[in-house]
Amino acid sequence: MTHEPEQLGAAHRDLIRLVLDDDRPGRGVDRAVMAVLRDRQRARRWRMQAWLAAAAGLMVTLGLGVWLWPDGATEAPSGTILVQFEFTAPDAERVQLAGSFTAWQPTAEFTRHPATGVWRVTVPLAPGEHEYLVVLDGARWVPDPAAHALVDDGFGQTNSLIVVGPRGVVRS
Amino acid sequence: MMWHWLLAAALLSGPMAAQDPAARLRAAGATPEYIQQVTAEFAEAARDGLPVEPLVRKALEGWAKRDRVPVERVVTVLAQVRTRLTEGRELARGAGVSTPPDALVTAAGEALGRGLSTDDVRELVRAAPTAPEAATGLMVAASLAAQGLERAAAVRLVHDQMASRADGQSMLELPSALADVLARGVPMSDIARQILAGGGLPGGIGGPPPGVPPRGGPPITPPGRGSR
Repeated sequence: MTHEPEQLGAAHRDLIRLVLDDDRPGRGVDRAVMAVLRDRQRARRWRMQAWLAAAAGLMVTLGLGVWLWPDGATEAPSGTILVQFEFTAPDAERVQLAGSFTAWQPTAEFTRHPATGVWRVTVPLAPGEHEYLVVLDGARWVPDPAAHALVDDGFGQTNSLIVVGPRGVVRS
Repeated sequence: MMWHWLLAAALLSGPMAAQDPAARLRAAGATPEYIQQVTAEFAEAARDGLPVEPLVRKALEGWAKRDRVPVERVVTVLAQVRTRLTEGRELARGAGVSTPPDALVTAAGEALGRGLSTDDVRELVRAAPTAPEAATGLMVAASLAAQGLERAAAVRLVHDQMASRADGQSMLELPSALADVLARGVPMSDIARQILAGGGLPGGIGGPPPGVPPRGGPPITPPGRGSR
Protein backbone atom coordinates (compact mmCIF):
# COMPACT_ATOMS: atom_id res chain seq x y z
CA MET A 1 0.00 0.00 0.00
CA THR A 2 1.40 3.34 -1.01
CA HIS A 3 0.66 6.76 0.30
CA GLU A 4 0.82 10.05 -1.45
CA PRO A 5 2.66 12.69 0.58
CA GLU A 6 -0.56 14.71 1.07
CA GLN A 7 -2.20 11.68 2.69
CA LEU A 8 0.50 11.38 5.34
CA GLY A 9 0.82 13.26 8.56
CA ALA A 10 2.66 16.57 8.63
CA ALA A 11 5.77 15.10 10.28
CA HIS A 12 6.08 12.35 7.68
CA ARG A 13 5.69 14.84 4.85
CA ASP A 14 8.45 16.95 6.40
CA LEU A 15 10.69 13.92 6.69
CA ILE A 16 10.18 12.92 3.06
CA ARG A 17 10.76 16.46 1.90
CA LEU A 18 13.96 16.68 3.95
CA VAL A 19 15.29 13.36 2.62
CA LEU A 20 14.46 14.20 -0.97
CA ASP A 21 15.61 17.77 -0.87
CA ASP A 22 18.76 17.44 1.16
CA ASP A 23 21.55 17.14 -1.40
CA ARG A 24 24.19 19.04 0.60
CA PRO A 25 27.41 17.15 1.42
CA GLY A 26 27.43 15.50 4.83
CA ARG A 27 23.66 15.68 5.16
CA GLY A 28 22.59 12.09 4.98
CA VAL A 29 19.24 10.49 5.65
CA ASP A 30 20.19 9.66 9.25
CA ARG A 31 20.82 13.30 10.08
CA ALA A 32 17.63 14.37 8.33
CA VAL A 33 15.60 11.81 10.28
CA MET A 34 17.17 12.94 13.55
CA ALA A 35 16.39 16.56 12.75
CA VAL A 36 12.73 15.75 12.19
CA LEU A 37 12.55 13.67 15.37
CA ARG A 38 14.14 16.51 17.33
CA ASP A 39 11.50 18.87 15.90
CA ARG A 40 8.73 16.49 16.88
CA GLN A 41 10.13 16.09 20.43
CA ARG A 42 10.41 19.86 20.74
CA ALA A 43 6.81 20.26 19.61
CA ARG A 44 5.65 17.59 22.10
CA ARG A 45 7.56 19.35 24.89
CA TRP A 46 5.92 22.65 24.00
CA ARG A 47 2.49 21.05 24.01
CA MET A 48 3.15 19.46 27.41
CA GLN A 49 4.42 22.73 28.81
CA ALA A 50 1.36 24.53 27.48
CA TRP A 51 -0.91 21.98 29.18
CA LEU A 52 1.04 22.26 32.44
CA ALA A 53 0.85 26.04 32.30
CA ALA A 54 -2.89 25.89 31.69
CA ALA A 55 -3.36 23.43 34.57
CA ALA A 56 -1.25 25.58 36.89
CA GLY A 57 -3.26 28.64 35.92
CA LEU A 58 -6.50 26.82 36.62
CA MET A 59 -5.25 25.69 40.04
CA VAL A 60 -4.13 29.20 40.96
CA THR A 61 -7.50 30.57 39.88
CA LEU A 62 -9.39 27.96 41.89
CA GLY A 63 -7.14 28.49 44.90
CA LEU A 64 -7.64 32.23 44.79
CA GLY A 65 -11.36 31.72 44.39
CA VAL A 66 -11.53 29.55 47.52
CA TRP A 67 -9.33 31.98 49.41
CA LEU A 68 -11.25 35.06 48.40
CA TRP A 69 -14.70 33.53 48.67
CA PRO A 70 -16.48 34.28 51.95
CA ASP A 71 -16.02 31.57 54.57
CA GLY A 72 -18.54 28.84 54.23
CA ALA A 73 -19.76 29.84 50.82
CA THR A 74 -17.94 27.08 48.98
CA GLU A 75 -18.84 23.64 50.29
CA ALA A 76 -20.82 24.11 53.47
CA PRO A 77 -24.25 22.48 53.60
CA SER A 78 -27.17 24.85 53.40
CA GLY A 79 -27.57 26.98 56.50
CA THR A 80 -24.07 26.26 57.77
CA ILE A 81 -20.64 27.79 57.53
CA LEU A 82 -17.37 25.88 57.39
CA VAL A 83 -15.28 26.56 60.46
CA GLN A 84 -11.72 25.32 60.80
CA PHE A 85 -10.40 24.37 64.22
CA GLU A 86 -6.68 24.15 64.92
CA PHE A 87 -5.06 22.53 67.90
CA THR A 88 -1.44 22.02 68.82
CA ALA A 89 -0.80 18.67 70.49
CA PRO A 90 2.59 17.36 69.38
CA ASP A 91 2.44 14.23 71.55
CA ALA A 92 -1.10 13.18 70.70
CA GLU A 93 -1.77 10.19 68.48
CA ARG A 94 -5.38 11.12 67.83
CA VAL A 95 -7.33 14.37 68.22
CA GLN A 96 -11.11 14.67 67.94
CA LEU A 97 -13.72 17.37 68.35
CA ALA A 98 -16.87 16.95 70.44
CA GLY A 99 -19.46 19.59 71.06
CA SER A 100 -23.04 20.69 71.05
CA PHE A 101 -22.94 20.35 67.25
CA THR A 102 -22.00 16.64 67.42
CA ALA A 103 -24.38 15.73 70.28
CA TRP A 104 -21.12 15.74 72.28
CA GLN A 105 -19.89 12.64 70.49
CA PRO A 106 -16.23 12.88 69.40
CA THR A 107 -17.02 12.25 65.77
CA ALA A 108 -15.02 15.00 64.07
CA GLU A 109 -11.45 13.80 63.49
CA PHE A 110 -8.55 16.21 63.30
CA THR A 111 -5.70 15.51 60.90
CA ARG A 112 -2.13 16.41 61.66
CA HIS A 113 -0.33 18.73 59.27
CA PRO A 114 2.89 16.87 58.48
CA ALA A 115 5.11 19.93 58.34
CA THR A 116 3.85 21.94 61.31
CA GLY A 117 2.43 19.21 63.52
CA VAL A 118 -0.70 21.31 64.02
CA TRP A 119 -3.96 19.37 64.09
CA ARG A 120 -6.84 20.69 61.98
CA VAL A 121 -10.46 19.85 61.31
CA THR A 122 -13.13 21.72 59.39
CA VAL A 123 -16.77 21.30 60.32
CA PRO A 124 -19.98 22.89 59.05
CA LEU A 125 -21.66 24.90 61.81
CA ALA A 126 -24.89 26.85 61.90
CA PRO A 127 -24.52 30.52 62.75
CA GLY A 128 -24.83 30.99 66.48
CA GLU A 129 -23.18 29.85 69.66
CA HIS A 130 -21.48 26.48 70.06
CA GLU A 131 -19.77 24.82 73.01
CA TYR A 132 -17.12 22.17 72.46
CA LEU A 133 -14.03 20.40 73.73
CA VAL A 134 -11.03 18.73 72.13
CA VAL A 135 -10.55 15.04 72.87
CA LEU A 136 -6.95 13.83 73.02
CA ASP A 137 -6.24 10.16 72.37
CA GLY A 138 -9.85 9.28 73.05
CA ALA A 139 -9.51 9.98 76.75
CA ARG A 140 -8.56 13.52 77.72
CA TRP A 141 -11.19 16.21 77.13
CA VAL A 142 -9.51 19.61 77.07
CA PRO A 143 -10.66 23.14 76.23
CA ASP A 144 -9.43 24.97 73.15
CA PRO A 145 -7.25 27.96 74.04
CA ALA A 146 -8.19 29.59 70.71
CA ALA A 147 -11.92 29.64 71.54
CA HIS A 148 -13.77 32.89 71.98
CA ALA A 149 -14.29 32.09 75.64
CA LEU A 150 -14.16 29.36 78.22
CA VAL A 151 -17.40 28.83 80.11
CA ASP A 152 -18.54 26.82 83.10
CA ASP A 153 -20.27 23.67 81.89
CA GLY A 154 -22.33 23.36 85.06
CA PHE A 155 -20.65 20.06 85.85
CA GLY A 156 -17.62 21.67 87.47
CA GLN A 157 -15.59 21.74 84.28
CA THR A 158 -14.94 24.14 81.43
CA ASN A 159 -16.23 24.19 77.86
CA SER A 160 -14.85 26.16 74.93
CA LEU A 161 -17.26 28.62 73.33
CA ILE A 162 -17.38 30.09 69.85
CA VAL A 163 -19.95 32.26 68.17
CA VAL A 164 -20.20 31.71 64.44
CA GLY A 165 -21.27 34.76 62.51
CA PRO A 166 -22.47 35.00 58.93
CA ARG A 167 -18.85 35.29 57.77
CA GLY A 168 -17.60 32.46 59.97
CA VAL A 169 -15.17 32.87 62.81
CA VAL A 170 -12.67 35.67 62.37
CA ARG A 171 -9.25 34.67 63.63
CA SER A 172 -6.49 37.22 63.70
CA MET B 1 -35.27 40.10 60.39
CA MET B 2 -35.36 37.07 58.13
CA TRP B 3 -31.86 36.24 59.29
CA HIS B 4 -32.98 35.91 62.89
CA TRP B 5 -35.85 33.64 62.01
CA LEU B 6 -33.46 31.47 60.06
CA LEU B 7 -31.08 31.39 63.00
CA ALA B 8 -33.84 30.48 65.39
CA ALA B 9 -34.99 27.80 62.98
CA ALA B 10 -31.47 26.43 62.70
CA LEU B 11 -31.15 26.32 66.47
CA LEU B 12 -34.50 24.84 67.28
CA SER B 13 -35.85 23.02 64.29
CA GLY B 14 -32.80 21.20 62.98
CA PRO B 15 -32.97 17.55 62.11
CA MET B 16 -31.53 16.61 65.50
CA ALA B 17 -34.03 18.72 67.41
CA ALA B 18 -36.86 17.14 65.47
CA GLN B 19 -36.04 13.70 66.84
CA ASP B 20 -37.48 12.28 69.99
CA PRO B 21 -35.16 13.21 72.92
CA ALA B 22 -34.99 9.63 74.19
CA ALA B 23 -34.09 8.42 70.71
CA ARG B 24 -31.30 10.97 70.53
CA LEU B 25 -29.94 9.80 73.87
CA ARG B 26 -30.17 6.18 72.76
CA ALA B 27 -28.34 7.07 69.56
CA ALA B 28 -25.58 8.54 71.72
CA GLY B 29 -25.33 5.24 73.59
CA ALA B 30 -27.04 6.31 76.81
CA THR B 31 -28.29 3.52 79.06
CA PRO B 32 -32.03 3.08 79.76
CA GLU B 33 -31.42 4.05 83.40
CA TYR B 34 -29.77 7.31 82.38
CA ILE B 35 -32.51 8.07 79.86
CA GLN B 36 -35.20 7.39 82.45
CA GLN B 37 -33.68 9.80 84.96
CA VAL B 38 -33.12 12.69 82.59
CA THR B 39 -36.37 12.36 80.65
CA ALA B 40 -38.22 12.98 83.90
CA GLU B 41 -36.75 16.49 83.79
CA PHE B 42 -37.72 16.85 80.13
CA ALA B 43 -41.30 15.94 81.02
CA GLU B 44 -41.38 18.54 83.79
CA ALA B 45 -40.18 21.22 81.38
CA ALA B 46 -42.70 20.22 78.73
CA ARG B 47 -45.48 20.25 81.31
CA ASP B 48 -44.52 23.81 82.24
CA GLY B 49 -44.53 24.85 78.58
CA LEU B 50 -40.76 25.38 78.53
CA PRO B 51 -38.46 24.48 75.65
CA VAL B 52 -36.99 21.01 76.13
CA GLU B 53 -34.08 21.34 73.71
CA PRO B 54 -31.68 23.04 76.16
CA LEU B 55 -32.21 20.19 78.60
CA VAL B 56 -31.71 17.55 75.93
CA ARG B 57 -28.42 19.17 74.88
CA LYS B 58 -27.25 19.26 78.49
CA ALA B 59 -28.25 15.64 79.04
CA LEU B 60 -26.29 14.60 75.93
CA GLU B 61 -23.30 16.52 77.24
CA GLY B 62 -23.65 14.90 80.65
CA TRP B 63 -23.74 11.46 79.06
CA ALA B 64 -20.63 12.19 76.99
CA LYS B 65 -18.84 13.26 80.18
CA ARG B 66 -20.16 10.33 82.22
CA ASP B 67 -16.65 9.26 83.24
CA ARG B 68 -16.35 12.43 85.30
CA VAL B 69 -19.96 13.46 85.91
CA PRO B 70 -22.35 11.24 87.90
CA VAL B 71 -25.94 11.08 86.72
CA GLU B 72 -27.14 12.70 89.95
CA ARG B 73 -25.12 15.78 89.04
CA VAL B 74 -26.60 15.81 85.55
CA VAL B 75 -30.13 15.73 86.98
CA THR B 76 -29.28 18.59 89.35
CA VAL B 77 -27.92 20.67 86.47
CA LEU B 78 -31.02 19.94 84.37
CA ALA B 79 -33.20 21.20 87.21
CA GLN B 80 -31.09 24.37 87.35
CA VAL B 81 -31.48 24.87 83.60
CA ARG B 82 -35.22 24.43 83.95
CA THR B 83 -35.35 27.05 86.71
CA ARG B 84 -33.40 29.52 84.58
CA LEU B 85 -35.68 28.90 81.61
CA THR B 86 -38.68 29.66 83.80
CA GLU B 87 -37.04 32.86 85.01
CA GLY B 88 -36.03 33.82 81.48
CA ARG B 89 -39.57 33.37 80.23
CA GLU B 90 -40.94 35.54 83.00
CA LEU B 91 -38.38 38.24 82.26
CA ALA B 92 -39.28 38.20 78.57
CA ARG B 93 -42.96 38.48 79.44
CA GLY B 94 -42.21 41.31 81.84
CA ALA B 95 -40.33 43.09 79.07
CA GLY B 96 -43.36 43.06 76.85
CA VAL B 97 -43.19 39.78 74.90
CA SER B 98 -46.43 38.17 75.97
CA THR B 99 -45.71 34.81 74.33
CA PRO B 100 -41.96 34.50 74.10
CA PRO B 101 -40.80 31.96 71.50
CA ASP B 102 -38.60 29.05 72.59
CA ALA B 103 -35.48 30.70 71.16
CA LEU B 104 -35.97 33.76 73.35
CA VAL B 105 -36.74 31.73 76.48
CA THR B 106 -33.64 29.61 75.83
CA ALA B 107 -31.40 32.62 75.24
CA ALA B 108 -32.72 34.42 78.30
CA GLY B 109 -32.18 31.36 80.48
CA GLU B 110 -28.66 30.81 79.16
CA ALA B 111 -27.80 34.50 79.55
CA LEU B 112 -28.80 34.31 83.19
CA GLY B 113 -26.64 31.20 83.53
CA ARG B 114 -23.68 33.11 82.08
CA GLY B 115 -23.99 35.90 84.59
CA LEU B 116 -26.20 38.52 82.96
CA SER B 117 -28.49 40.15 85.48
CA THR B 118 -32.27 40.18 85.30
CA ASP B 119 -32.05 43.91 84.49
CA ASP B 120 -29.66 43.15 81.60
CA VAL B 121 -32.06 40.61 80.17
CA ARG B 122 -35.03 42.91 80.49
CA GLU B 123 -33.14 45.81 78.91
CA LEU B 124 -32.07 43.82 75.85
CA VAL B 125 -35.49 42.27 75.33
CA ARG B 126 -37.06 45.73 75.47
CA ALA B 127 -34.46 47.18 73.10
CA ALA B 128 -34.81 44.46 70.48
CA PRO B 129 -37.12 45.20 67.55
CA THR B 130 -38.30 41.59 67.45
CA ALA B 131 -38.27 38.53 69.69
CA PRO B 132 -35.76 36.63 67.48
CA GLU B 133 -33.43 39.62 67.57
CA ALA B 134 -33.78 39.70 71.35
CA ALA B 135 -32.73 36.06 71.45
CA THR B 136 -29.68 36.72 69.29
CA GLY B 137 -28.79 39.81 71.31
CA LEU B 138 -28.98 37.98 74.61
CA MET B 139 -26.83 35.15 73.29
CA VAL B 140 -24.22 37.56 71.97
CA ALA B 141 -24.17 39.70 75.12
CA ALA B 142 -23.69 36.58 77.25
CA SER B 143 -20.85 35.44 74.98
CA LEU B 144 -19.15 38.83 75.12
CA ALA B 145 -19.36 38.76 78.90
CA ALA B 146 -17.89 35.25 78.87
CA GLN B 147 -15.01 36.63 76.81
CA GLY B 148 -14.23 38.89 79.72
CA LEU B 149 -15.91 42.08 78.61
CA GLU B 150 -17.45 44.00 81.48
CA ARG B 151 -21.13 43.06 81.67
CA ALA B 152 -22.38 46.62 81.28
CA ALA B 153 -20.19 47.10 78.20
CA ALA B 154 -21.39 43.83 76.68
CA VAL B 155 -25.00 44.85 77.10
CA ARG B 156 -24.31 48.36 75.82
CA LEU B 157 -22.55 47.07 72.72
CA VAL B 158 -25.45 44.80 71.82
CA HIS B 159 -27.96 47.50 72.71
CA ASP B 160 -26.23 49.98 70.36
CA GLN B 161 -26.13 47.35 67.64
CA MET B 162 -29.85 46.78 67.97
CA ALA B 163 -30.47 50.53 67.91
CA SER B 164 -28.41 50.98 64.76
CA ARG B 165 -30.37 48.33 62.87
CA ALA B 166 -27.70 48.62 60.23
CA ASP B 167 -27.34 44.88 59.78
CA GLY B 168 -28.92 42.31 62.02
CA GLN B 169 -26.32 39.70 61.10
CA SER B 170 -23.47 41.82 62.38
CA MET B 171 -24.50 41.17 65.98
CA LEU B 172 -23.23 37.62 65.60
CA GLU B 173 -19.88 38.97 64.46
CA LEU B 174 -19.26 40.90 67.67
CA PRO B 175 -17.53 38.05 69.57
CA SER B 176 -15.14 37.48 66.65
CA ALA B 177 -14.55 41.21 66.38
CA LEU B 178 -13.83 41.47 70.10
CA ALA B 179 -11.38 38.55 69.90
CA ASP B 180 -9.69 40.26 66.97
CA VAL B 181 -9.30 43.54 68.86
CA LEU B 182 -7.94 41.70 71.90
CA ALA B 183 -5.45 39.83 69.70
CA ARG B 184 -4.17 43.19 68.50
CA GLY B 185 -3.21 43.97 72.07
CA VAL B 186 -5.92 46.43 73.08
CA PRO B 187 -6.60 46.07 76.82
CA MET B 188 -10.09 44.91 77.73
CA SER B 189 -10.51 47.89 80.05
CA ASP B 190 -9.90 50.28 77.13
CA ILE B 191 -12.35 48.40 74.95
CA ALA B 192 -15.03 48.57 77.65
CA ARG B 193 -14.36 52.29 78.16
CA GLN B 194 -14.82 53.01 74.46
CA ILE B 195 -18.02 50.99 74.28
CA LEU B 196 -19.49 52.62 77.36
CA ALA B 197 -18.62 56.00 75.87
CA GLY B 198 -20.77 55.09 72.88
CA GLY B 199 -17.91 54.46 70.46
CA GLY B 200 -18.51 50.77 69.81
CA LEU B 201 -15.63 48.36 69.34
CA PRO B 202 -12.29 49.70 68.14
CA GLY B 203 -12.43 49.15 64.42
CA GLY B 204 -15.90 50.57 64.03
CA ILE B 205 -18.16 47.61 64.79
CA GLY B 206 -21.09 48.12 67.07
CA GLY B 207 -20.99 51.88 67.21
CA PRO B 208 -23.91 54.16 67.83
CA PRO B 209 -26.69 54.52 65.27
CA PRO B 210 -25.98 56.81 62.31
CA GLY B 211 -26.58 60.42 63.23
CA VAL B 212 -26.12 59.82 66.94
CA PRO B 213 -22.84 61.33 68.11
CA PRO B 214 -20.75 59.27 70.54
CA ARG B 215 -20.79 60.50 74.08
CA GLY B 216 -17.09 61.31 74.08
CA GLY B 217 -14.03 59.43 75.26
CA PRO B 218 -10.66 59.22 73.62
CA PRO B 219 -10.18 57.01 70.55
CA ILE B 220 -8.30 53.80 71.04
CA THR B 221 -5.47 52.93 68.71
CA PRO B 222 -4.06 49.41 68.90
CA PRO B 223 -0.38 49.30 69.81
CA GLY B 224 1.85 49.52 66.77
CA ARG B 225 -0.89 50.69 64.47
CA GLY B 226 -1.56 54.14 63.26
CA SER B 227 -4.92 55.56 62.47
CA ARG B 228 -6.16 55.32 58.93
